[in-house]
Amino acid sequence: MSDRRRITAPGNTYFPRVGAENKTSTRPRDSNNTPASFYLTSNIVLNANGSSYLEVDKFIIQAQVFGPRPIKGSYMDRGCVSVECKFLSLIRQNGSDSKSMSGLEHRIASFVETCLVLSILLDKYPKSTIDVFINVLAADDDGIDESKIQRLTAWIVNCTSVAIVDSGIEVKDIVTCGQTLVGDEGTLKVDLQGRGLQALVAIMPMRNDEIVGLWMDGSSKGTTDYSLAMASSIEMAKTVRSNINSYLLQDQ
Amino acid sequence: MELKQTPIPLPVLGRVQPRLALSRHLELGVRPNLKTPTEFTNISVDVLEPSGESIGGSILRYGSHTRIITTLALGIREDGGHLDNDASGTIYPILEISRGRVGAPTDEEMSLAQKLFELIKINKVIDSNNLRVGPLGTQIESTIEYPEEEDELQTKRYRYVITANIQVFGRSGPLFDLIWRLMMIALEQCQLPRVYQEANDFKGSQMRVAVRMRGRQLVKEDVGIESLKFDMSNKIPLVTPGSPRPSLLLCFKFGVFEGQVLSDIEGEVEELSVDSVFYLIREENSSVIRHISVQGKAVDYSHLVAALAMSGAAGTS
Repeated sequence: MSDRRRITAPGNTYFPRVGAENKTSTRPRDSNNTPASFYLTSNIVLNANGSSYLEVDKFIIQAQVFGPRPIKGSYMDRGCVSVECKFLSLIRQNGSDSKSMSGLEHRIASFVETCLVLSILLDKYPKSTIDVFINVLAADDDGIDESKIQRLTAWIVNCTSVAIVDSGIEVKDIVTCGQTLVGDEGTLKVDLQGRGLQALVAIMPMRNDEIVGLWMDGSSKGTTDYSLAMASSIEMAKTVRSNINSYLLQDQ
Repeated sequence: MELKQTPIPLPVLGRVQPRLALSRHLELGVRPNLKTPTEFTNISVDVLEPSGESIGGSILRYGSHTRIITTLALGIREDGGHLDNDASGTIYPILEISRGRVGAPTDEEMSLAQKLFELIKINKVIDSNNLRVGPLGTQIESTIEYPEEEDELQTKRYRYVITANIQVFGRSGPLFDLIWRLMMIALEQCQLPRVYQEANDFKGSQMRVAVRMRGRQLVKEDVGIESLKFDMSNKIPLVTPGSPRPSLLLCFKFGVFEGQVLSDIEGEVEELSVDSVFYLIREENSSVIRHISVQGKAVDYSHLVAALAMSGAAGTS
């Protein structure tokens, strides 16, 4: 049924896949062993309790935190967290039409939620909800697909953590995330997407590197690849964390 | 017992008694958002390059915190014949104001989208002819040829459909004027790709123009709408060059509070306490008014005159 509350295009409209004529490719990085440089800022949306904005390569991510807000209904002794992730309509997602919420968005949102729930002191917020809204404002010209989702998720987690800090919600630690790729030929690439074994690890560096989120995809030649990918992801998370720390300190 | 008077700081007063806070501010000659009564907040608009699925768009910055992004997407449909005889076209906007909730659109989102949809049509921003897909081109090997005129043999006509997705972040007051500005600039810069078919799509692929007999008439073979191709290197502007530029249609908002006209109302205190809000669309560098709409209590003629003078000063600066 058509949505009568919104002004949608006539029913017989066909939306073709048009694309930009000149595709600009991401500039290759100097080294494969360091994370990409990123731009981070927070407190940009006034009517949210906390917000942050992150640019890395061609990704532009914005996170907003609303809460703690009271919820209706019976008493609960702890708060709950909900995460929504949305790609701006112009970002092409492979294998989905732009009309419904895509599988990629769901997967990112549930991963972020898993990481955050473990870091927020939910006991401090009884009968309340903390709502996180993530908007992906820009991505590569050729869209987002399975191979890019992990790298994007890593930066989304980092961005969201800063928004949580900005909102003043009490946390055990700032969750930071690292992502690595062990390519088919066995080479290790930090913060890069591609074919091979991809690992995404979210940790709380100040709590003895406690792992709060882990996501591995792809194929590997042996078990050593797994430990290598995981160790270097944690390494990247720590590098990112020290950058976030210095940002938060100069912000004071 | 002596009762002490507790002073209430202005931000708190703005929450509990917005009208009182606003009138106290105005006595001092400055508004809660630190503007003078006739001042407009800075707006800057940047055009977005087509990328991915979008054929254009723009981003608007209003003050320090409001950001609005719009992206235009292209669709195509069969011409409805006499149903499409309107002189002026429009776009299909979907508007979302980020407010930390999900679900059905709010009244504000629905009415803003409806208003934009209608006013683009009424103000003849888009010529309906520009939404008609011109003669279809034919790709033969690597070149695409476009016939000069509409081919008599072509049985189906097509029209472009433009949808706009508008995302508002950090809403700080009534939005229609901002959305109008943003959309006019996006539409002015928007370009539509020409449409062609691949020669292979015709039955009998060796033929340059596939035709078949229908009775005693030659008819060009129809291809499905899905197999039409878009020529991104050959584009036609949506707004004909030389015709009045949409971005010259400026929209301003005003509020009336206790008989006083306030320009560009912004912030919670002003929005809650004004008696009416009205929008004015006028042409830049001329006194032609294209549209006035009022929300709330009726507005005096003198208020409109005052508003027009303010908008003139803002338009020329």
